[in-house]
Amino acid sequence: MTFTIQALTQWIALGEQILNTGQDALTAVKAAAVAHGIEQDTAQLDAVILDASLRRAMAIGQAEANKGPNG
Amino acid sequence: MRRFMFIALLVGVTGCASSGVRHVATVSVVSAHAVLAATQDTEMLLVCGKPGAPAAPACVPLAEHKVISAKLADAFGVDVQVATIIRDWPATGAAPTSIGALLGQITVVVNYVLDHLPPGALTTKLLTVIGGAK
Repeated sequence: MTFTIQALTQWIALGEQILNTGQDALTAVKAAAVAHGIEQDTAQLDAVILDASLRRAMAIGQAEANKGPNG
Repeated sequence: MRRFMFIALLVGVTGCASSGVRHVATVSVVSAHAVLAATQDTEMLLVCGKPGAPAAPACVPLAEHKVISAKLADAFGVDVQVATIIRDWPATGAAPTSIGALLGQITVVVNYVLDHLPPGALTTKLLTVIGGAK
């Protein structure tokens, strides 16, 4: 999986934005990508890929858990 | 039986690539992702024993939750796949022919989850948000 946002400082700023504003990760990734000149549709798709990957990992964890959703 | 169908925004897509066609494909996968995510979030809230979840039989049994989660994992994998195909679609290339089928796989999972959610306020809200129908 590749990302169009590369710089570590950009990820840190993105994380701070999410924490400080409560903005959901999907919206924040897209906004940051567009702000850095990435074409909007590509930014949307990258955000979907990121969020879907995270949700897939969560679903796998839930499917394989031996206990309930709270561990 | 609840049913949800993604609008076939790619119907009538020609073999000629253009920024408009790619944009339509992008909107399709973004919409599909939003529906799948909302479905996952709602189901997670309804798992029996989770704080705030209703009592049985108005909740999703843990065994069923694990089955649903496995299907959602597959669906999000397809979600990543179709988004990647569209993102990597070259500007001069023909429209990828696999997008519709992949979105169809996501639809099957969404409908499975909808069929296994217990009736209630959260399920009704989900159906309202995603445009599904009983």
